This record gives sequence, structure tokens and C-alpha cells, in this order.
Amino acid sequence: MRVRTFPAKLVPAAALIILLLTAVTAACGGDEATPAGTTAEQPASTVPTVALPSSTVQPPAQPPKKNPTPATTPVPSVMPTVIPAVVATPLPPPTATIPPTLRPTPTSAPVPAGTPGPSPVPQSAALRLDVTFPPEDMVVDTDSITITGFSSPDATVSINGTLAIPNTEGHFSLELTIFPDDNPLAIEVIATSVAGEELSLVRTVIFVP
Amino acid sequence: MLRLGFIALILGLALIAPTGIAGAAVPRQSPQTGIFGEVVGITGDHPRAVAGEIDITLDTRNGPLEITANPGTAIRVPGLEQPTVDDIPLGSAVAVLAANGQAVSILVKPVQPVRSRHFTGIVTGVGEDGVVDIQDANGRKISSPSASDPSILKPGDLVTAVLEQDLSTGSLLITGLDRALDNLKRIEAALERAEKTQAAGKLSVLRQRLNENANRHLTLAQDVLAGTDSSRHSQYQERLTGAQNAYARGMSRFGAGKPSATVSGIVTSIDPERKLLTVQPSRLPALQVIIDGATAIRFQGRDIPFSRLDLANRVQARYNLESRTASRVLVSAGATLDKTAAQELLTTVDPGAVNGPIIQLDFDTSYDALPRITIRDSASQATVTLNVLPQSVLLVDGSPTSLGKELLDTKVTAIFQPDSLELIELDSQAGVGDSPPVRGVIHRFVAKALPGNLSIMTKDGKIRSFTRTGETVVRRDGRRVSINEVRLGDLVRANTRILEAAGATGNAAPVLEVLSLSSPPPASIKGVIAGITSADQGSIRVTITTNKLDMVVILVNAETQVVQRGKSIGAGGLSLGQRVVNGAYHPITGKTDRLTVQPARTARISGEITLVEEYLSAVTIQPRRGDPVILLFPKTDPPAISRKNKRGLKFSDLKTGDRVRAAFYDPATNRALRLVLAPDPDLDY
Repeated sequence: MRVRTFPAKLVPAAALIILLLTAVTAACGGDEATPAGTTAEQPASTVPTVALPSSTVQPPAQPPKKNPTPATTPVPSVMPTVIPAVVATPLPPPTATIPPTLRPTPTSAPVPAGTPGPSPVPQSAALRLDVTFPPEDMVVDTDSITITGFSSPDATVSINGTLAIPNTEGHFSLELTIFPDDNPLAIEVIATSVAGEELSLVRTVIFVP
Repeated sequence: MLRLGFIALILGLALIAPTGIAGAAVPRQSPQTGIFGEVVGITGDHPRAVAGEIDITLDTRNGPLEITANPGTAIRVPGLEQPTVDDIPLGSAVAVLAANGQAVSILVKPVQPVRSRHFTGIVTGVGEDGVVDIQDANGRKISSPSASDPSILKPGDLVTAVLEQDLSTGSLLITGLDRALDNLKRIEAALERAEKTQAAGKLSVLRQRLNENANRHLTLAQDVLAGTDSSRHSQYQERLTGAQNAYARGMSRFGAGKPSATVSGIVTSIDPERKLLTVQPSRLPALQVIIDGATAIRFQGRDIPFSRLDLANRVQARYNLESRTASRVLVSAGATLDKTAAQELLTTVDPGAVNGPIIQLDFDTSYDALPRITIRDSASQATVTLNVLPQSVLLVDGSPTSLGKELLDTKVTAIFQPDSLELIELDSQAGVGDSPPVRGVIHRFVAKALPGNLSIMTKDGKIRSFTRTGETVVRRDGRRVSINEVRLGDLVRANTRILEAAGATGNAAPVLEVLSLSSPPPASIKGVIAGITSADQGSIRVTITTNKLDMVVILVNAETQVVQRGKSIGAGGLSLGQRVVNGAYHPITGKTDRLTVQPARTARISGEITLVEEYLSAVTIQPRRGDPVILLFPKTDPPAISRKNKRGLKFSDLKTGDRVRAAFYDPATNRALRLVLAPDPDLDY
């Protein structure tokens, strides 16, 4: 019987293909089999350990090194979390030809209209807010978690009612304790500016001891 | 080459191995699990339900999952004090801590903050008891104790307060204070850094932000100064001058322009020779600004010359505080509906509306049954049968008619009460082509016949422009009315009809054939009184925080029926902390018809702990003025104790000499509900 052996000259090519596939798998998350809804079934190593900063502001704040993004790539929540409270819905483009004179508006609407405030901050310079850690829907195995993110340097930022003042680069961070009564914990991050802008985000974490 | 290939193969296999392990589920030591998902089913009709167990089906990333809620499951729903499983809405996103299939705690995830909020305004008072009064640009006012040191504040300062509301006690607390001049310092530091690193893009953005912050701060400070009485005028003026100088220095240093403010109101006088414009704000003294060659005057996004301005134009003029020269004048075509009021009103727009042919008429009125009409909705093909009441409005070609067989197969728009399926209004005329019904609220309105003279905020929050011509039929509750009866905030019903689509005759705003309106109903209000301030004509302006920490301002006057425990107490009987359990107000004007309140659930004290009695679990607090108060700390239900930002303290952490920024307690039993301590040591009290 003639046994056909794998051609030796193809071994390097096969090895390279395997390497390539490995890389692609890793890039795509590589853990699709991990239960997402029951995140606590992840191996213990995939539940990030949270770094605890010594102060509320870390210049410049970076995502905690001991807090890598969990192996289960978080899927964005179904519910929108960014509430651009002060970004006014833009009016439609001009539709009218400018009248010869802008006649007085008759008192057809005698209801006292709200006095319009100052014009909004130009879009290019508008307030920013992003939370870099934790991602949406995360399970943690410690009762402390450090929230990090960035906003505009002049913004007033609070996390669950506690001020988290941004540094000159706009980075902010704050350590929160997850008490049993607040587990799961909704993390409310609000940024406002003196100019009247407001943005907010909500993240949710579950502490599983 | 061959050897290299084998090495690569082994390396590749070695890399695959841990990936595979990561994908497998490894049981944890803890029996608890964390679950995120969407509620798709709640079932309580099984034998176990007798024991109070209810099955909740979740749609998770891994598919459906069932958990059981039992009487011990802690449930939290945003805005509700003591929710149960029944309060969990289907479709809501939840986070669940579970053990062995039983839910330990369930959190309905809030889509926006509900426990904390920012409030930016001018400090109008700092009491000895640590209570800070802040008033914002919209006339809202809060009076609340502060966990942060309030002595850093002076009346006239612009500050952003971080607020936290405790639903169980109804207490509002300032947990953080950020002064606007500290924001200025931060932006200056950021500008300095950007200059050093030569980050041109950042510099430009930061300069714009500095300019806008200065404008807003100085505008607010000017408004408060103009509206204050003489006793505080000099104090406010001093703070305003200080702020103006601080911004002037910063803006000059970083090339961000000069300090400006904005005045908004109606043009009451124009001096074409000296190019002076007088603007009259709604509640403040008039202000005159200078127009020069550099002033940009804009109307609907286009530059217009000074000569086009006319008396009674609504304008926003941004002007240099020193020279009073306007850099920009924005002209708006008409009054615009306040955004908060618009959002409130949109929830009441046409809760039920259907558009399609009448497919069945039922006149059988035996047994006192009402006539019924069945319509097939053109969009969904669903049918709806409506009860026709004597007061239902029926219109054919715009004219009132009665119910008859000739209506069969007529294409109509019907508006109805979704709960009772009672017909409110039925209109036989169909819209143009496939145009969807226009539903919303009047957002802006100009009576003059101009293209785009009316804008409607539709139910999806978008603002759409329309043209109302002399031929447009305006109806309110089915009756034809004059154009002069159109009001901002009027509800636009689904039988509003477009005659001419946009662009048909070169007109970018669709022409309305029928504008069908109804008056906005009174809005209901519930919450806790967070601030009271005087308003025009003897009325008072009351700021109420809702359970989700939204802030609503209502106007209460002598005509408002204010009731507490069955007794009329009048506007003068309102006080901070009272709970508004029932009330109705007009969402546009804020005027309130009736208000039912309950006494404040908690009392509050601040001071120094002078005695800690461990065996009694009691502490004595001596306020700065008045008698000491003994508070009890029951072990079974201990109150929340915090010191600055540190929470979760215990009774054993309390000691004599501790400063209490705010202690909330039950006035009937003196049971402590919440205690906020000053940082230790606290020399600022």
C-alpha cells in the first residue's frame, strides 16, 4: 500500500496560514463562545482587576493598566446613553426670501416666549464627553472601580454626584465603591460647561464577588 | 526552511490553545452571576407564583434566559421609590445580580442620569446653616445644604452645583461646587499647555470656549444684577466686575477677544443716524447697543443691512461690555417655544390617530350602545373601531356633518382617546399624496404671510418649517378660528394637511391647506419643592424637582388652589421640602391651577456633634443657633453616613466634635435618615 505523505515543502505555507488565522481570530475577539448574557461565567482571568488611583484626578488619566478591556467585547447597550441636552435641533435651512423690512411680529402669539439664551458654542468647539472605562455592561470582581474618561478641560464633570475635575488635557478619573445596596451600579457621568452645554452618559457594572 | 516552518506551526498551535480556553466557560467559585439583557417576558401564573416567585425572561446576547424574582429580590427602577416586579417595563434593559437562577437584585438601567444633576446659576445666598441659594437663567432656584464647603461662595458668584436627590427622604443635597472662575483657571491652564506644545487646533477650540464661557457668565451676572434690589446691588456689582476683569485678562493673554454679553429681547427703538439699537428683554431693563460697520446682522442665516431692522423684531445682540458695540445681532422671525415646554407638550400630542378609509359603520344603538365606526389604517393595514360620542367632531370637506352611510369608504383622519377608543375628531379630507400626517406642537409662528412662517416640532423632536398662506384653514378642536388665535405650544393634530409639497412652486417650505389645532392640556406635576422665589404681580415662582431630578418651574398666585391635608393653605403656605403630590400647570406659562402638597418628609439640621451615646445609638447635634437635637441611629435600619465623598460610614465612625453639614431626620421620631459630615478636620464651617 502506498502511503501518501504531506509534502514537506508545503509545511511552511501551512504554518503561515495557521498563524494568519490565529491573528484574525484574535482580532475578532476570539471568544464568541463566551456567554455574554451570563458574563460571570467567564474565566476569572477575564474579569478585569481595577487599578485604584490614590487621588481623584490623575494627570493625565489613562485607562488603568490592570483593567484591560474584558475578553468579552462589550456590545453597546440597546438604550442610547448620550443625552446631548443642549444641542439644539438645527432649524431647517433658510426658506424665506428676506422681506424688504422685517415687520414687527404681530401679537398673534401673546404667550410670553422664553427668552432665547446666548447663541450656542460653535460646533467645532462644542463640549465633549467620553467614558473610556468601564465599557458598557461590565461585570467586575472587586467592589472598587475607577472610572476614567475625557471631556473639555473647562468642563464640570461629576460621577454619581461626585466632582471629577478634568486636567488640562481634559482627562478625568474617579474611584467608586460598589456597595451591596447599589449592586448592580448605574454610573452617571455628567459634563456641563459655563456656556450652558450639557452631556451625560450612563454605564452599568455588576460586582460579582 | 522546513525547520522554520515547523517552528511556525508549533507557535501557531500554541497561540490557538489559549484562545480556545478563553472561549470555554469556566465555572467561578462564586455562585453569583451578572446578567445584562432586555426584559421580554414576566410571568406570574404558575404554582410557584403563590410563594411570590415570578419568572422573568431576558433576551441576552446568548439568547433567552429565565431568572426568578422572589420577595427578597431588590428591585430598582429609575424614578420610583419602592418598585416591585410589576414596575419593570417590558422591553427595558436590565442588569441582574443572580444566584442559582434567583435574582438577588435587578436594576432597570437608566438611559440618562436620574440621581444626580448639574445646576448652573448665580449664588443668591449662603446661609449660616450651610444652605446655598442658586438661581439660574431660566428663573429656577434651588435652596439646598451643601456637602462641600459653602464658605468659598459669595453672592453674585456663578457656580455649577452638583445635586443629588434621595428619593426615600426627598432630600436634595449639593454634593459638589465648581465656581465659574475655577473653570476659567482650568481653561487658562489648558491654553498655556496648548501654547507650549504648539497645538494650534486645540488653541483655537479653547479660545472659542473661553469666549463663549465669558459671554454666558457675564450675561447671567448682568441679568441677575439688573433684577436685584438695591441692598445687594453693590455686592453683585463687585462680583461682576471681578469676573469681567478676570475674563478680560485671560482673553487678552490668549488672544480670545474681549469680554462680551448678550441681550435678548424685542427692538423698541432704532436710531438710524447714530446707529443705536434699543433692545427690551422680557423681564429686565432695556439696553442700548451700538451698531458699527463690523456688526454682523443675520436673519435666517443670511446677512442683512441695518436698514432692514424694524421695531418689534426679536433679536439677540452680542455686545462688547466696555464699548457697548454689538459684534453680532441675530434676528429671529418670531417667538420660539421653550425647549422644555416643547418636550412636555410633545407627550400629549394625539395619543391616538388613524388615517385611512372607513370600512364599517355600526348604528346599532340598542342597549344604549354608542354608534361605532371602523377605519383601516393605510400605513399599518390594522383596523380600529371607535365609539362616536355626541361631542365627537365629524367634518366632511371642512364642514360639520353627522354620522351617515355616505361616509363609508371615505378616506379620513380620525383622532381618538387610545384608552376608551372614543372618537375626538374625524376629518374626511385626505392629505396630499403619501405625505405622512403632521403631528407636533407649534414651535415658532409669524402671523405675517411669509414663506416658512410657521414651524412645528414633530413627535420625533424634529423642527419642520411650513408656509401658512391666507387660504390656509385654521381649526381649533374642529372649529374654524382666526389666525390670531394660534399660540406657541398649540398641539398640531394629525388631520393637518399639506396643500403643496415643498419645492412644488419653488417654495422650500410646504404650504398648509389645513392647520388643525387643539389647546394643550394642563400638565401634571409631582415632586419636591426645591426653591421658592418671588415673581411678577405678587405671584411666586416655585421650582420642583421630580423623582427623576428634572426641574420644573411653576407660577403660583392668589388664584391657585393650594391644599395641604385637606385645608387650603394658599401660596404663602408653600415651603421648601414639601412634597407636591398632585398638581396641574400650564406648560407654556407655568401658571398653576391647583396644587396638593404634603408636609416635608424630613427635617434638617447642621451643626456640631457634641455627644455620642453608643449604648443609646444616639448623637446630639448642636446647631449654630437654637437648641440641640438628639438623633437616633437604629441598628436595624441604619442611616446613610458620608464624609465628603466617602460613603458607607457607620455609627461607630462618629465622634464628638464632628461637623455635620446636613443631617436629615424624621421630625416625628428623630430617627436619623441621612448624615453628611464635613471633612475632618473642618475649619471652614
